[in-house]
Amino acid sequence: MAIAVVQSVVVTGSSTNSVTTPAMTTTDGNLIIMDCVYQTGNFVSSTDNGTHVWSNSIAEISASPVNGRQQYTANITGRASHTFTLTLHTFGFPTLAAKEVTGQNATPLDKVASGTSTGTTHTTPDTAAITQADELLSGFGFLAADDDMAVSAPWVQDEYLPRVGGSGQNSIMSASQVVAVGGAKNFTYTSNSSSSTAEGISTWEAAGPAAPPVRYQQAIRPYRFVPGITR
Amino acid sequence: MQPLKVLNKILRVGGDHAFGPVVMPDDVSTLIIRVDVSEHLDPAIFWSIELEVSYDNGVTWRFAGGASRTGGQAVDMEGNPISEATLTVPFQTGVDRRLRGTLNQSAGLRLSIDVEAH
Repeated sequence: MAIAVVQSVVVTGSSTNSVTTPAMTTTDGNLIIMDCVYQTGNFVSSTDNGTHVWSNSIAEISASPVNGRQQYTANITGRASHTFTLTLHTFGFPTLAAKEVTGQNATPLDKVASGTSTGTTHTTPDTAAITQADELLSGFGFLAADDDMAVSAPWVQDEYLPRVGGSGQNSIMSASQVVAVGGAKNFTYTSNSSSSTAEGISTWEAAGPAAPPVRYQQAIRPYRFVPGITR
Repeated sequence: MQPLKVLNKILRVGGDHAFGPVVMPDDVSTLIIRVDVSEHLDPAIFWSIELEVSYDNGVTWRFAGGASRTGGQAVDMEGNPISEATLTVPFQTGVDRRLRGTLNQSAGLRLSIDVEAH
């Protein structure tokens, strides 16, 4: 099965301690990637109502005054009403985009890169060369301003939430693409006006082809000649 | 759609307070929940909001997002005092949509909630 994004959700808040995404119905064995944005030094946890264990795929990056990180959990137990929560240590500006991925390897995280930029075109540093040709790239970018953000093909926008709620909200872009060619990768997106942003990219290995069936061969015991025994 | 006040600013006791259901226009794609927190200053008092959406005129409901807050003076990213907290979630366009929610307060508190649809 090819690796692919199944679905995604996004939520943002201002002057709140936590935000929780709308529910989605998830499937056993899939991967969840969460892009988390919050103001500096304010992260407590990302969690879900399925009590999975979450790890950083992209460590904290900063577009002062907001920071972000990407977390993930692989091989989930699916839920009919699966929600995801970003919690801060006090009220602030949390934004969370979560995507469900299918068809990934058992230990899928391969390469990551992250950085900051200014201007209207924003590009992460290159990752190291990815391990296999068939991988999902997941990128995200964010800024603490009211701005339009966009990606170009072959990137596909999974979630984009501008600062519609007013002062204090973050803007986030979360996107992905599946690549069939190896090498170093980066994530590029644009903003409408010159902005200070932070961005990251992670690459996720697809599951390999099914292993060929094991063929069992019965061992043949060699005939053993015992002297003195006659029939 | 003009902002719709779903909970007036009155003193409510601690516990659950339901609001809605509210009919959503067909073309609404984003919901902003605006909570007046100008009197939510006590850090010992906590509230949470849970939203539910129906796509079949209220027959079935699905969790649509949530937020929580402890008391204190709200400020924007530049540190300027503000009086509201917001929760913003995308909303699938279409017919027969309803929104409802529950506010849970840990103690008595005066606040109001408006729903703004885009």
